[in-house]
Amino acid sequence: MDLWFTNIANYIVQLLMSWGFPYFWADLILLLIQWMCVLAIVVLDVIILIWLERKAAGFIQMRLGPNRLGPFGIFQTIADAIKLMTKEDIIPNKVDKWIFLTAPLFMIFISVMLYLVLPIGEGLAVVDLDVGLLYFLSLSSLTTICVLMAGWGSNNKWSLMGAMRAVAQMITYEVPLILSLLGIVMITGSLRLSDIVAAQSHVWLIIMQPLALICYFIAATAELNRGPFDMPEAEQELTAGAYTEYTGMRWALFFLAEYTNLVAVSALFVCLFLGGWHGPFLPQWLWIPVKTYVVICVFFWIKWTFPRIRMDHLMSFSWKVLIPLSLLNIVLTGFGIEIFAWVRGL
Amino acid sequence: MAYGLGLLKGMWVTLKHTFEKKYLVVQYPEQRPVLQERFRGTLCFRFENCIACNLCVNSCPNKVLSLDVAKAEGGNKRKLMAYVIDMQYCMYCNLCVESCNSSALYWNKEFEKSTFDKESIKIIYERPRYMDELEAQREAEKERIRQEKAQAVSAKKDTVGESEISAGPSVAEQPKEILAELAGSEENIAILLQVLAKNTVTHDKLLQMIDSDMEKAKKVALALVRKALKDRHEGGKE
Repeated sequence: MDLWFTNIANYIVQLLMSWGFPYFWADLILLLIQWMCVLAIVVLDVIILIWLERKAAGFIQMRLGPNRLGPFGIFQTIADAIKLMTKEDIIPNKVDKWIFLTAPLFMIFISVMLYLVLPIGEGLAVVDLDVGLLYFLSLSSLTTICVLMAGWGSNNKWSLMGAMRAVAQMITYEVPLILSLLGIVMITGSLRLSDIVAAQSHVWLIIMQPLALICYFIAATAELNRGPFDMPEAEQELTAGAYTEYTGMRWALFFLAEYTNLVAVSALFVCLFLGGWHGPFLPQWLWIPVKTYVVICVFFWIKWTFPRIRMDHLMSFSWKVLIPLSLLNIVLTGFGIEIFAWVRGL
Repeated sequence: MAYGLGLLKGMWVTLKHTFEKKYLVVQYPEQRPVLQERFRGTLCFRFENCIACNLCVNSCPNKVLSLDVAKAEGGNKRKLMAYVIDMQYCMYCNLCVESCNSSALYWNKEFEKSTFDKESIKIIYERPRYMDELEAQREAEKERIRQEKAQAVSAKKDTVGESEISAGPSVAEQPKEILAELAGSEENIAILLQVLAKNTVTHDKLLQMIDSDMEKAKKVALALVRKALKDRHEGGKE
């Protein structure tokens, strides 16, 4: 059961080669199919997640959430998507046209690219890069540029302020995010995500790196512009931040990208700390989604519990608390590795 | 050393709410909201009660109300032709209802007032057909009572003599029609008489009023009944 998808992929390649395609082309076509699958997963995920978030928000606030369309309102998001797609695509007069128009496209493109290195099961990553973690982190910080493009191109003070906040926040929280993951790289000795997951077959890294876990979780919340750290689109102050001028499908693309990022970061969290595909009973490719959704629910829980934090507090929290903590974690991990090696040598 | 404990406490609170039974939300179209007794839904108008005094129109801060008045033929009496409530400007301040002397205005609990165009939100009360007849009846009734009273007074003059008119008989001995006009229902009459039996000064004043100014007497009687009812109500509560 673990190998269903690998078998399907092998079968497709063999089928194509039996039709006379050379191996290169067969592999390329397989890659395209995988891309399509990733896109389908992303869209499906976002549709479910928006519904789930609204439902969770409702439950936390003692409401019922969407419950009109379909059982438990499950078709609400689909109706919203149809509405957004049929809406007029308004381009304000004085925007910087090309930047304004391409920002959401870049954003969704980059977000989907994050999924290429995520291992869904053993050997089930689209591309299993040997610098997968580095690739993931560098790409996820690229989305900031799209937010800045949107804010700058909109030619609107709120948008620009939102974008500036996003950039400041991203630069600030990128540092503890990466520093907190260094401990994991030190322990596993690899930047390849499937190696990191494979190293957790006995002990999940959540037990070995609790400090890194907390640092990563907080920094990731800030990176995603979510929860108490959603300063870039603080609707009470900046209407919708960088997305103020966007309507219809372009706005929906930003929304899609945000949730795509959420899933990607949660999946990375699962791969790094929660043992990835390792787990009893269920097949490998089912464990990752299950764990990811649990992590996402915690993100929702945090978002709908805490009020938004002030911008300067946000900054000082990262520089004064998170970065020292993650540096401390690196030092502790180094000592731990040395001590472990010494004990083993005895 | 207790960093983050407050956060955990907050998350515990929201977690508890997440699995609580959701009783706060009324599933509106299927479940109807429970409206309070004094809920102000739509302003309503009783055409029969209106005396076209214009007080409500003057009291309205938003010019919601308007009267269409005609003078009755052969006389100076104002005759109400139509009453218009432009609900879109109403701010539910209740001033018109408070100002109305003849309780022609009241609130009902109808709150679904959306319409497709601006005009149809206006509530227009046209003069009903039976109004002419009703007014004629009332006029006749008044006339009859006035005559009866005059007869009674003249009869009294004959028997008792002119000096004792003001001291006259008690209110309880007045003709039934007068009592009915004073207090309305049988119950109210009983209450009124109880009150008057306790207080002879009021009794005498009211008696004089019946002779001199029936309208004023009516109001006084009504106020007395209301006060008695209120006292009784409050006493019952305690």
